[in-house]
Amino acid sequence: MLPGLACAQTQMTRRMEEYGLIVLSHVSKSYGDINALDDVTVNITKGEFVFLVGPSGAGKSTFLQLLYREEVPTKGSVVVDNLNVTRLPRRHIPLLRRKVGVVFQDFKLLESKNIYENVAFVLNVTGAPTKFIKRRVPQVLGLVGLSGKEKSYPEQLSGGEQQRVSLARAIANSPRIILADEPTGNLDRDSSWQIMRLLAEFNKRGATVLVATHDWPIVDAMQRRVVEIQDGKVVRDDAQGGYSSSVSSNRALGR
Amino acid sequence: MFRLIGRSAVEGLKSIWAHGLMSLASVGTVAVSLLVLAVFLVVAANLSYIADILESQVEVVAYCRPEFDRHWEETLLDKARAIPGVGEVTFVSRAEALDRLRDQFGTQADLLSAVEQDNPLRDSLEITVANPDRIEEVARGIAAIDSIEDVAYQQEVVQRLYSVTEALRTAGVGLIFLLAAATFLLISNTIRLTIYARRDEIEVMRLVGATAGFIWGPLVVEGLLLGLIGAGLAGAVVFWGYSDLLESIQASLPFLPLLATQPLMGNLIQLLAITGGLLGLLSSWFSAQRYVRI
Ligand SMILES: Nc1ncnc2c1ncn2[C@@H]1O[C@H](COP(=O)(O)OP(=O)(O)OP(=O)(O)O)[C@@H](O)[C@H]1O
Ligand SMILES: [Mg+2]
Repeated sequence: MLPGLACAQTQMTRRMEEYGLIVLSHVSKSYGDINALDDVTVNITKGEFVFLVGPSGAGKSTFLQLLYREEVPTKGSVVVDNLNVTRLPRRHIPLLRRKVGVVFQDFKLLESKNIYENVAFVLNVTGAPTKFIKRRVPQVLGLVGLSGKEKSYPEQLSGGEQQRVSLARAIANSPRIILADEPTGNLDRDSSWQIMRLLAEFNKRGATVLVATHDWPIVDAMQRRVVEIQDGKVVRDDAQGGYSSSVSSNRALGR
Repeated sequence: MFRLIGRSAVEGLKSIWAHGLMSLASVGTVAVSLLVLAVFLVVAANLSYIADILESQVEVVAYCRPEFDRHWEETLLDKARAIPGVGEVTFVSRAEALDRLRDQFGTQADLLSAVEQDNPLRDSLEITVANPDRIEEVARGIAAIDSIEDVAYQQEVVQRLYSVTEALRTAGVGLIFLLAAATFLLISNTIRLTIYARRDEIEVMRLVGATAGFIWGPLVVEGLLLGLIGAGLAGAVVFWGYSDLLESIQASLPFLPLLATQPLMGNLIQLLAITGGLLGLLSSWFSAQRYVRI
């Protein structure tokens, strides 16, 4: 397996800083007896759009959590935007998390705050000036197509709308990296495509995007880099591919 | 930095308001604990003040025989001063003693007119002793002098007062530690409640890159305020209580020496504020760093 190196961009001449924005080398993560990740080595460069696929319990969420230091690897090293996440001192963790915008599997919107406040909250927390916040929040809500919903509360929105608020919040302080954990989990076709197009759009504007998903039609349709995980191991890393590898589908057909 | 402090103060206040009952319980415990501390301190301060006054007053009084002749005053003084352990020695003549008595009777001095014709008092020596433990030895030495008839001293009162003060201090220190621990637990528990109530918010804050200080700020402010409000309550109660007590004691037992309200109360209230504030800070900080991980 030569995951990171085998990717399509190797043909391009890259500046040093574009090399390896996210680098996992020989990363293992175990919870007691469970090996959530097992000797994972992946290299993601700046500007890539990567799908992380695999069955439930394969270790996709764990993979993403390692990148924003919600979890620490049991073995191996994780480097994100030149920060050694594995050995990051506690007081520098906020620095890492401000570089990474996360769309959480369970949204994590605050029920007691309206949409505007939910997005403004992130900017507030990171110490953005009030004037900037007033300008920026409507801007990102516009980007995800939620202009006019500022005063609504999360419970008054549909699942797809909540997902878009969560996306707006993730991009509010223009992170270099966007991580989305099953962003289309419970959405219908149209809403799913809407979310995925937005992610692709942010990617086009320069963000590096990592999406963990079960949404095979979209993965198949978009033909981006696909990293497949099974039982904590990387079993496939295609520069451009679909939801399942041709090898395994052939095998399935052969039986 | 100013924004952080400002925001922390606002959030901290809001949180105290939101947990009305629990906040009230914390403030109450702080107040009661500090009140007990204050009462102890006030009593101890007054007892040691009284003991000091008594000690600095005459400790041994030696009465001369009725036939004593003032001609021998200097010789008597020299003999008394030669006794080991003796501090200062003053000769008080019968006439002076009567004058003093008259002063003490004040407006009712005319009661004394009956005895003034023929002064029944005797000449005496007033002797201070540097070390209260040696009082007995000194008294015996003085009593052995020819012209002295008898000797009186108030060692027991002073010493008992000192030992009471001492016991009070020891008990006080123990009790204060207990109360401090109770206060600590209650405040840190209140803060834990705040953390629990705001867990979603705190979780999001962490994940989007809030610094520890940003999350802890409001919690620590909340603890500090709980401590200070409690201290304020305790201070107010002690202040009014002591002022009243002082007034009524001075009316009924004017000779009892007690410390004036100031500077005692000023110092005490400062001490309460510092103790309350510090307890609040420490306990909320403890909870914050224990229950909020970045
Ligand atoms: N905090 C945890 N404690 C114990 N085990 C955990 C923890 N988090 C994950 N695991 C285990 O690690 C394995 C990988 O979990 P993970 O959440 O990464 O899977 P996933 O690929 O995201 O699954 P899904 O597609 O269902 O979200 C699972 O077996 C899971 O039970
Ligand atoms: Mg998951």
